[in-house]
Amino acid sequence: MNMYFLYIALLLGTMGNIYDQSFREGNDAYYKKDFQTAIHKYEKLIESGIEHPVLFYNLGNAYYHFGKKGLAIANYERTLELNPSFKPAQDNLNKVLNETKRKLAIPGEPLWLKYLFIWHYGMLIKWTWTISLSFWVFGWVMIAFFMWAKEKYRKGMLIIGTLSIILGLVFFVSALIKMNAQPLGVIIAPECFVHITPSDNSPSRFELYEGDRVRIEREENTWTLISTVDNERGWIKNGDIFVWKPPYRSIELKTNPEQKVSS
Amino acid sequence: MSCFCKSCVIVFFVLFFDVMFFIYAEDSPVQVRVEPSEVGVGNTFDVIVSIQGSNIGEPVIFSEAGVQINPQPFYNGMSTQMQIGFGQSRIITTKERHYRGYAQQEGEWKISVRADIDGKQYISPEIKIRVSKSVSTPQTVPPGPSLPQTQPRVPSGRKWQSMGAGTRTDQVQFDQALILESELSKKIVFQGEILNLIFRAKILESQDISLQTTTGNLPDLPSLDDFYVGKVQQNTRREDISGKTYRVVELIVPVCPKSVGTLTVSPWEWNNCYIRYYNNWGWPETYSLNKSSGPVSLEVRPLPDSPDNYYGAIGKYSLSSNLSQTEVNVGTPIYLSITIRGSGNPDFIRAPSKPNFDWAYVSDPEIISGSTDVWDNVEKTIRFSITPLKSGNYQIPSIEYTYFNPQLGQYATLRTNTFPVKVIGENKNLEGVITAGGTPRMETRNIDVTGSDLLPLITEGVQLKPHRPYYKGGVLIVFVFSPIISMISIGLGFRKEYLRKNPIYLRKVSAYNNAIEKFSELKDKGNIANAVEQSLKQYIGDSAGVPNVSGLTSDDIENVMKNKRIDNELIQKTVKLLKTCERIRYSGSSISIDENRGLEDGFNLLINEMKKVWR
Repeated sequence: MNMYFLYIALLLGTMGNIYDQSFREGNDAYYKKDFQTAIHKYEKLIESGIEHPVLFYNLGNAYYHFGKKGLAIANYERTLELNPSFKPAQDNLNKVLNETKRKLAIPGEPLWLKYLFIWHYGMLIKWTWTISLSFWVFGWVMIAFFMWAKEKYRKGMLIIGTLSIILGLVFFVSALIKMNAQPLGVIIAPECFVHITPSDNSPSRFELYEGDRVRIEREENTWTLISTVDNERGWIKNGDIFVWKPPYRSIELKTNPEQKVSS
Repeated sequence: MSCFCKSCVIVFFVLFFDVMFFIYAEDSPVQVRVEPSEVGVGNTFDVIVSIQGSNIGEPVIFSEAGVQINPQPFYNGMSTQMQIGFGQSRIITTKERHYRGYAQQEGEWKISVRADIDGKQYISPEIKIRVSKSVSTPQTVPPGPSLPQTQPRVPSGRKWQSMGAGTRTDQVQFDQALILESELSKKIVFQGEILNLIFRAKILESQDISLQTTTGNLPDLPSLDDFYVGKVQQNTRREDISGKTYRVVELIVPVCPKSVGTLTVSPWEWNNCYIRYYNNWGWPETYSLNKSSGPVSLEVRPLPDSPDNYYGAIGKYSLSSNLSQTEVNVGTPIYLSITIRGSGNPDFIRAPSKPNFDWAYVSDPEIISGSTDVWDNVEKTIRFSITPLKSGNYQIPSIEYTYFNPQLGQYATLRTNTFPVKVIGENKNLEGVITAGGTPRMETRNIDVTGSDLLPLITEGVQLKPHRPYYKGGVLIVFVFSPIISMISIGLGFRKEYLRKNPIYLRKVSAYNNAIEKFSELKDKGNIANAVEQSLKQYIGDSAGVPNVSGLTSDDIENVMKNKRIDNELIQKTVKLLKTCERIRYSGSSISIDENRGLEDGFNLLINEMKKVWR
């Protein structure tokens, strides 16, 4: 039995080295301007279930130099989702967004939601859950011991307990909103037509360009209903958009292997 | 007479041998001399130790602080001679060791030697060496890395000798006496980023052999012209390799690359060093050894495009600022000090551009203090003297200081505080002002920042491990069970509170348990009748809420039960049992075991019946 655990520990230890090795190889390839190899190495790590802001940041840089601004933006966004205070990612995102054709702003939450949950922007969903759970449990613990405490403390415990439970519920709602928020996506095709209905025969309503970020409303077969920051809505083909909602998935890069040139 | 003569002869011989022993004991078998006896500071001298005895241990040299003696002898010699005296022959071995000393300070310094001879410890007479002011050229002996010495060698073990020098096995064994390694703490760095270059010598510790270099010191390190080099640190430790103990000497050289591209550090070469050992005849011999560590390579990346306020610092820094005065007279200088602390090459920390004010003259910056020995913890304080020319209230704005952080692969900007300044007095012309401080420039090193179109990556300090999603089921359980457990706790709390406030109710709740407890307590004292009577009364009293039941008679109990509307049959049974107990109590006679059992069974039946009725 102990040997069994030892093997698992050894396997896990080796896995750690493999990840780091792959990451280093990706970095080396990047500095040699072999962006395709770098992207391949980083994507493999994402495929293995690695979710690290630095990995997405480096991948974003690699995509940027590979000429895939849309995917670069998506990866910087993923970085900022995992670590909202990651300044280099924010800087690079701004740089790439400035290079997009329309410089379209990211679609935001409804205004009432923004004001109601003003604090939860920039807070990771994991932390929202943790805070909610902590307040909830703490509140109920206070209430549980309310009848067992000395009489002079009871009022305070009841107030604190009740407030804590309320805060727990508020954060619970916040976490639910985050969980069920409509995902965001970025246009990865150089140019894409947004159709009125999910059909190639449908007339196009407007045009989007690589790097434009949109909200995903619905998916139907090979079509996705999107809306922009200006509340323009329409259908685009699934292949033209990349959604960065967790759990983060890797992208199979379908490019010309000879394309190893910096953008 | 003959007896007297014999005694005299014996006494004579005893005295003779004692005196001889004393004479021999006075003359230490360890002799030391110094050649030359007077040297200049920085010169070397030889310490020649001669030891006589049959079984001689390796000598240990003691010297005063002004001289330094390499404990590794550069010459080992041994001779054997036979002494015949008083009809007895004795084999005397003489060992000779020559040590190299180095005069460090002027003065007269004592040297002595200790050695174990035939199981006893002897110390040589102290000899003096005079060190005068050096007139000759000092020899280059690096103060830091000196050759670590192996343990004293005694030619007792013959394993090195029996093999015979020059055989293939022997050479392999000798070659293993020294292992050289060199490595870099990082393989890929930015230009100007500090890293450690580590040179490691693993020297076999053995009593049979000793490794020596021609100079007695560690060989020079390879050329590091492509790097800026910091202060070398030396560590020594022991390490077991393949069952053999090695002394590991590690030289840690902080370096930072001057140029970009692939840089190679040449091997660390130990040429012309030799191994001393004893041959089959016990005579010292040497084996010449040349070894080198492998070359190491480093990839140096260029720094990305630098911002305007970048002055060349590379590393990780923090900044603090201070203004000597906030209220000052016109013409009196005040000092703005900027202290930069952190890790990096201190030579790259250059002063920021001086700020320009229309109300004051600002001098060129000067470095007033700095700690630059250890690159991991450098500090430089840069000072501007500001001489106000106009009265009024002003503000010294924040000065930006940008450095390159190789860990992040980004430029980072530090800012000084802003300081309000109140200047009083009459305005002056610039020409009439004498400014304090302000050396034109400080000695710093420039590093070429080659432009790169690559966005910098983050390569260091990343620990990648697969993401583990949080357990939603666990979260749900905590959310659901927290209020349930809490509610149960509140319910129990309320019950406890109610019982606390109603002692009669509390007694009623616990009447059965109290009665059983009392019965078993009194039963142990041997009087069953009394136990049955008291316990029964206790139960009825507690159940009916009567506070003091011990004084009640069976008639009183009957009344109490009737008041509580208990079944008449049960009342009669109870009264009958109580009266039986009373009768036994008053009669004072003892009852049989069967009667005891009957009373106990009656009590148990009755109390269980009553428990159902009172509930």
